[in-house]
Amino acid sequence: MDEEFGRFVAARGRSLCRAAYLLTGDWQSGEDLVQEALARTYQRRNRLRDASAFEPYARKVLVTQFLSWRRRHWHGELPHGAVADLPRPPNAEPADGGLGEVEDRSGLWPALRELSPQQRAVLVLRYYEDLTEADIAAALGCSPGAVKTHAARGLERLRRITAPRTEERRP
Amino acid sequence: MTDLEDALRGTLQARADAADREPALLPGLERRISRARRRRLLGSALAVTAVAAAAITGVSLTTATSPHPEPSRNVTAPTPHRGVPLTDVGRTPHGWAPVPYLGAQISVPTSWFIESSYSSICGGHVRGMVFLGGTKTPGGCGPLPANVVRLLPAGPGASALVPRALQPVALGPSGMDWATRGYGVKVVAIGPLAGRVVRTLTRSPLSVVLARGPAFAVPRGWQWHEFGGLRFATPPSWAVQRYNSWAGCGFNIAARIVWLNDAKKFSVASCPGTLATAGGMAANPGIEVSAGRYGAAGFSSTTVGCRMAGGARLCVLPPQNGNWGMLQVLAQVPGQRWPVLVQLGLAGSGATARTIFDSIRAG
Repeated sequence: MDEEFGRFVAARGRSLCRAAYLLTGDWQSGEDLVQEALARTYQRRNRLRDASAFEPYARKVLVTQFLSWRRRHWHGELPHGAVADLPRPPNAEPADGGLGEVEDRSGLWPALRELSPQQRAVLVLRYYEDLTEADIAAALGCSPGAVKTHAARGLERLRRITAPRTEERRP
Repeated sequence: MTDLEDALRGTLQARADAADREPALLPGLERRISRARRRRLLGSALAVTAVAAAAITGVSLTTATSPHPEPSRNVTAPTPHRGVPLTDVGRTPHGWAPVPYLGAQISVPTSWFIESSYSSICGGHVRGMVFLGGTKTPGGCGPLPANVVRLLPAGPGASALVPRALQPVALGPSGMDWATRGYGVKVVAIGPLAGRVVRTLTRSPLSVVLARGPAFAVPRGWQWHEFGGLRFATPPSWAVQRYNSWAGCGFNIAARIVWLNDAKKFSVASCPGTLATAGGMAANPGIEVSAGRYGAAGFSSTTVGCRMAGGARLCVLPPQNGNWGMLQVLAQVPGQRWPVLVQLGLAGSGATARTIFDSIRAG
């Protein structure tokens, strides 16, 4: 690997991993996804205009690879309804390496896993990466209209999934 | 900005912050880059091997068949089998492999690359590439080879998996593209072997399995299996293998194996790469039945069509992973908590696959 690309990986790899984690819901899978995206970017580097183009290209590959993986690998993620809130022993290890400790009263994080990959990707790019609809469309290889549709449907689904929990908290 | 959007933004940021750690990217990245290099070299090696084999056997892959339009000829229906025409296996020359797409199938030399939404391969001096559907030319692959074939849906109604009728192949006046009626597929072929490739056109085994008509009778001597609430028959020579872990990989069917998986466990496996050549992707005859909690995990509820068969509801899934050599069926069996996934290899004339498919019933 050449020095310039190595510097890019060192500088931006972590940021890519954060986005990939939000897409996949799992840090290890996210790293895997980022490595694949970086490897493809590296193969393509001579055709990119300069080093500043590495990151947009890597992000585009990241998203398309995520969608492609979701098609190729038959994930066993199935909605399993409500999981009972079992009390955890005081000194027990967190089940997911501490990530479960993040307060998420909204229920949005588990709800995100129930969205289609396209909806999830659009919402992550829009509300975490702060990309414009045009940029998201370019990353996903679809039209801005399709981005709007995925975003609207994703938000609507999140609203439906989380609504009962919200209502339960009301006095 | 609504409350929900605000909450989503906050949740994503909080989750990313909580998960954040120093990633160990470089070792894995180096491995992937090396692997990609090896893959490109493999492409070159394959092409060299193909040329060498052609030289040895006296079969010239560079034979320039005339690009001029050839006289229109009927794609005659193969010998009907109880009223259902079969895939004409005689159209696949020795050293070539079938490439099915929708209701049609062509054949190309085994070394040609297949580009689909699932896989892509490039590099080397391969003599031909086949693009399935709207697959784009992979980037960074250099110029296209001498022979390029595209199989595309042929307009309205083209998604039908079963050809309504066999009709003549209409050869384009330029000699470069052929619209086939009845298959739901448009074939665009250029290059010295274009004419030979188009003449291999026949219906796909998938269309044989899904065609209307009487059920194929199970031949005497076939073995019957009962698994996952289903009962079905297979050829007597096929071996039975049992598993209980669903690894999440699956592109082709193990040849002549009855693969029974109760899918009690789900494990994420590193999926082996598929050699995306016509030979490497050629369908195998065989069947995989996955029942249990994870048997049908991850499969879309979208179906092409459903039918009742001996108490079981069989729903055909659209081809996944760009793989048209495998029929995937979700079976709902009364009394079974989870749907059963049946994957059937679509090899040969389609008669074996059709017979197995027609034999499936609630056990």
